Amino acid sequence: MQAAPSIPQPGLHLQPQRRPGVYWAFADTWELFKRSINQIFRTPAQLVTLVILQPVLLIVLFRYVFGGAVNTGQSNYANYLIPGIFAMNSVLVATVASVSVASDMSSGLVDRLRSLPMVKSAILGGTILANAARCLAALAAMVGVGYAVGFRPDAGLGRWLAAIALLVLVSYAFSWLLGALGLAAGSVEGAQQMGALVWPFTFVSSAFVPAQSMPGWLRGFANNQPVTQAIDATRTLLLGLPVGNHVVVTVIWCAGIIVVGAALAGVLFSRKFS
Amino acid sequence: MATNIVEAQGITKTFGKTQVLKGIDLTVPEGTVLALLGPNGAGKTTTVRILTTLLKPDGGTVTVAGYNALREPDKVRGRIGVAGQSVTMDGYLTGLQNLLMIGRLYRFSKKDAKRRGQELIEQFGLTDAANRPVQTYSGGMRRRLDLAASLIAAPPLLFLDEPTTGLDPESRNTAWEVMRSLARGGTTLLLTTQYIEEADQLADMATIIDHGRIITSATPAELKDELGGERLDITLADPTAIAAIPELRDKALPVEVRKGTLSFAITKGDAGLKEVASILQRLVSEGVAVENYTLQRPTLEEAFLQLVGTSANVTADKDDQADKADEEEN
Repeated sequence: MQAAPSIPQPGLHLQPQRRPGVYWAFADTWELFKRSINQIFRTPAQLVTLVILQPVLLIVLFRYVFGGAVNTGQSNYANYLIPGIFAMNSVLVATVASVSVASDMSSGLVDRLRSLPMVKSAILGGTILANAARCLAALAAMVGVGYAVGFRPDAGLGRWLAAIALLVLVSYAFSWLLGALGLAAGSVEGAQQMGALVWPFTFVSSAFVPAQSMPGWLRGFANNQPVTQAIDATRTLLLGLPVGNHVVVTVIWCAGIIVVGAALAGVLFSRKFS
Repeated sequence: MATNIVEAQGITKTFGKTQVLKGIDLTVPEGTVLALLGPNGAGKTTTVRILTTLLKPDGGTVTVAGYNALREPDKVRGRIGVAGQSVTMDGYLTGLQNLLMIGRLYRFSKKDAKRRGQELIEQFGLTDAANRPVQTYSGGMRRRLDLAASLIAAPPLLFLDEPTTGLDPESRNTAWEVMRSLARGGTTLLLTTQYIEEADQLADMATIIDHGRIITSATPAELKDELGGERLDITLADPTAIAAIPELRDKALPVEVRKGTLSFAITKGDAGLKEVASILQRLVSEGVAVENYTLQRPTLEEAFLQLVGTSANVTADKDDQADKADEEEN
């Protein structure tokens, strides 16, 4: 430090803006969302491996390594597989939230934020929302690779937008749940292990093969778990098939997961600091 | 009489099985500087975290800036600034972006937040680094940015937890200047420190805390007085010569300030003058050669060590636990 700075005196108060609480809940979340998004772009290595390389590898692996041996009863396996991987990836991206939340908690920034007159739920909310936005980047890469491996969707703009919105919603919902588990883990290292908890949901699903081909006990789980619903919703939307109740069921699942995840995260967050 | 901007009574806090705070009473009159002084693990950080709403106490009442910190924490948060021991900035955002974000979270308009951020960047000499991510900053720069961030709302009350720990002497002096300048401007400061000199330099009142209890609270000058008056240090040409005057040897303090130096506690006022005269008289009449002699007030450091030393003897067995608790709270 050079010469002592002259410090403005109290009483020269800037006037805080007056708005309703709901406004601040969104405004504060937005501020912290921007912060997390900035962090994503400042760590390009993570963006490339987690968000782009991983989903692209999944496509190549299942399209060409296993794909030849799979019989889904459709002539174009890519059409069956790619929407499944879209949805599956929304859940896989959510696992990053465990680590993001745990590393936020171990940084001094949280203390700074908690000392401010802001809406406290925005601290987690911003990180979670930014995490869901990651899946958009992954989606862009996967659509490109999908086309290259023979994916030929039959969907207009409306169906595409609906599918994208649904995929982001799925990622957002699971990010709350995984974020809460990251809090429960208590450390960044512990949080990294939490990601494995989603594997039964992503793999025992209709992503690669129809659930009908599985043994009965597994089929029951596969048919009735949220990721299968999300996969079927995405698939029917993008392939121009009748959507049935898949979209509605997926949205209900997501709402439930958000409620449970956010409540759990809220409890763990306040317990951590009591 | 000035109103108290901080009023805490009977704060207790237990982490696990360790009671870290055992009933802390603290008042800070508006416009003054209070130093919360104590060794590591004394409970300073826990106290500050409770006063700044970051931690809930198990018991006690806390009123800060006129609001009950337990019932209306957001009212308190809008009126205080906090700079902790750790750096509390986002490493990926630039210095200016951090200040903008915090300004916005204080509910200032975009325009106000930006103006205030740039103002502080300039005042803290960070203009050149304003648009670099904070993770490229040096340790000293981060601390400056942290202090700047705590001043965004120009709060009337500022909490600084060990603001100069780990700073080089030059940065420490500048930090002191900043604190003095804030105090002159009317900001109430509550700072924690392990350094007596810091309390002596900056504080109107020093409150000594150890093992979760307030030991004493006084002005730095009173604190020195409390430990008696002056101290007479005598260095003999031949330290063994004192053996010739056993009654003087027995009167000397059991601790050597410097090697070969005898120290005598001298009471305040006229009586003290006579004591000094009689000691020197005795040495002269016995023909003991004196290399030099000084009369001085004990430093606050010595006062502090004496106070904390006394309390440490009583509770030495709890030291380990207190250290652990301190690690937990950090």
